[in-house]
Amino acid sequence: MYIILVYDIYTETKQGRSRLPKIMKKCREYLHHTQKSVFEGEISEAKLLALKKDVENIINKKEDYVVIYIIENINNIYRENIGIDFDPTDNIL
Amino acid sequence: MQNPIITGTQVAYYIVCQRKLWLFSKNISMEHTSELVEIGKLIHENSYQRKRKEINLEGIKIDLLEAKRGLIHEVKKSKSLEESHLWQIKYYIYYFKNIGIQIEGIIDYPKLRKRERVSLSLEDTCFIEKTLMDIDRIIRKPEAPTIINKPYCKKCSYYEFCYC
Amino acid sequence: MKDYYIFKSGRISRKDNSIVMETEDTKIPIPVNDIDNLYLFGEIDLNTRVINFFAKNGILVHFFNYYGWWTGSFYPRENLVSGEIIVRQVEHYLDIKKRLEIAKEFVYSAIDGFIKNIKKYPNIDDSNIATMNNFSALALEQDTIASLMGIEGNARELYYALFPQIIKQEIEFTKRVKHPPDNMLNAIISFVNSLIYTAVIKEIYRTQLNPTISYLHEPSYRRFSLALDVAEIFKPIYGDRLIFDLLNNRELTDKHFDKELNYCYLKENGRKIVVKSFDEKMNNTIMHKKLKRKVSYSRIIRLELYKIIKHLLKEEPYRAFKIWW
Repeated sequence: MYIILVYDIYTETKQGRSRLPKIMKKCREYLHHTQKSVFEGEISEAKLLALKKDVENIINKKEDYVVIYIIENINNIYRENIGIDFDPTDNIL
Repeated sequence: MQNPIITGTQVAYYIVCQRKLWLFSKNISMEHTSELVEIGKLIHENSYQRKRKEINLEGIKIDLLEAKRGLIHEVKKSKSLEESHLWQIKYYIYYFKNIGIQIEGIIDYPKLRKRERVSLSLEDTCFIEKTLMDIDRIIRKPEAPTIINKPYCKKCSYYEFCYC
Repeated sequence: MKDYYIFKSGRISRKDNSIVMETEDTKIPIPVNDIDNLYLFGEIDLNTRVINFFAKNGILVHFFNYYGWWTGSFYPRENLVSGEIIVRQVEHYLDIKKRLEIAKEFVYSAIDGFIKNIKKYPNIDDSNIATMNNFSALALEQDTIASLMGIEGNARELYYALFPQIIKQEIEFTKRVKHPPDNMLNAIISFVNSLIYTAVIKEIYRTQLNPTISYLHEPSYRRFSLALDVAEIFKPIYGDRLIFDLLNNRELTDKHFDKELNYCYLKENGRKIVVKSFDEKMNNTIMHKKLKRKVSYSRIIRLELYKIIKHLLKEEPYRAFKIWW
């Protein structure tokens, strides 16, 4: 499956600001960094489960939230860029 | 020659598929290939995070021991192979009984939010003793038992190995 | 999970619990959980910290030099070891009858691949197919590894001699030269074969088979000689078919090659084209008749290894893969 993950971390407090790099680092273990708080990439069901558990342990459920868009069939995704031609998921670097 | 101790996994595999038991006992494992196994492990790791106490006595690997109440817990993903879970935990109860500790067991299905209590009858003891001898006999064989062709083969981590 | 092919130069390091590629002007994070294999074509700095991290995550790393020749692979300590399998692998090597039985399957299947490829091109005279069929029959009769290798060599020679009739581009190709390749076609064959070889190495890593014990090639020949054996099966049907397509569709032409005095190699832009189609091909899926499920081209290599294991366990005589499409 393919997912797009976006997060919004409440950064008005010191604790909130310290959660921000934590969640970014965690997402970088699994997904490609598309832009600021947006990640995307192909992921297995098991890895997604692991990622969700990790995210749950990082965020403050009263202040932050994370949205995951799931595309079951990877063939159903069509990616279009406007502006700079940038694809973070490229595997030929 | 007495084999090294028989593990709970081996008892469970004996119930599910003797071929799997043989292959697994020869270290021909396929678990790394299976998405389902990976998910199972995650569920396992995430249950009882607070009162986590795993014990490992030479192959008797118990997920959680509540010593005061004399209870052991085993965590499972689903009920699809219930029989094997049952015998795995009964084997643990049997094992402890033999070293002089009386306990009872509980199977937890965190995903289903269910738990089941398990105890050991006299009949169960007979069956386990027969099973242990049988396991020993099977894993000494030079060849693996044949494919069992069951509907649940499709979900097994050995599926591609057995049927390719 | 996918394979990553790195052409840029710079440093690959561990950053927190993931990987980052740093070049002079950018930092590219690569999710560690998404990496299956790493192919390094550029000039890359690595340290032990990142190599240990690769090992922990079961990531294989393949190294290529400036000309694109494979120079070696980092094969992390095996976590799948079965004494039973190793003993049986050795048993089947030491007994020449048992060794030949497996080795012949590799040759038979390789020649089958030659034949299937030739048949796709109607302009090739049928007499060649008859000769090839003869070679496969002969292969089965051999009673030494050397003579079996000889037959395989003869078949391969004829096969390569037909390449000018398959490839629609004007390229000079008289015979297969490996070290170093002397013309375009030899250069691309060498490159693609090394990709097939590494693809087999990575599948062997995911099984209990020991990569050093082999049957057609001598175990002492190379570090991963079993991969050489198994690669024989897939070179014609995965590798050569890719080469024919790339050249016949003119995706690769002489502008992608560099020729020096005595040898020829693919330039970076050419390598990228090959790697991209190779990667796509390995992820292609096909309905597996016996499993009744879709499997990728790379998974078919794994299944081949499973069949070898089953042969070693004396369950089912090994019949090497023969392409049906």
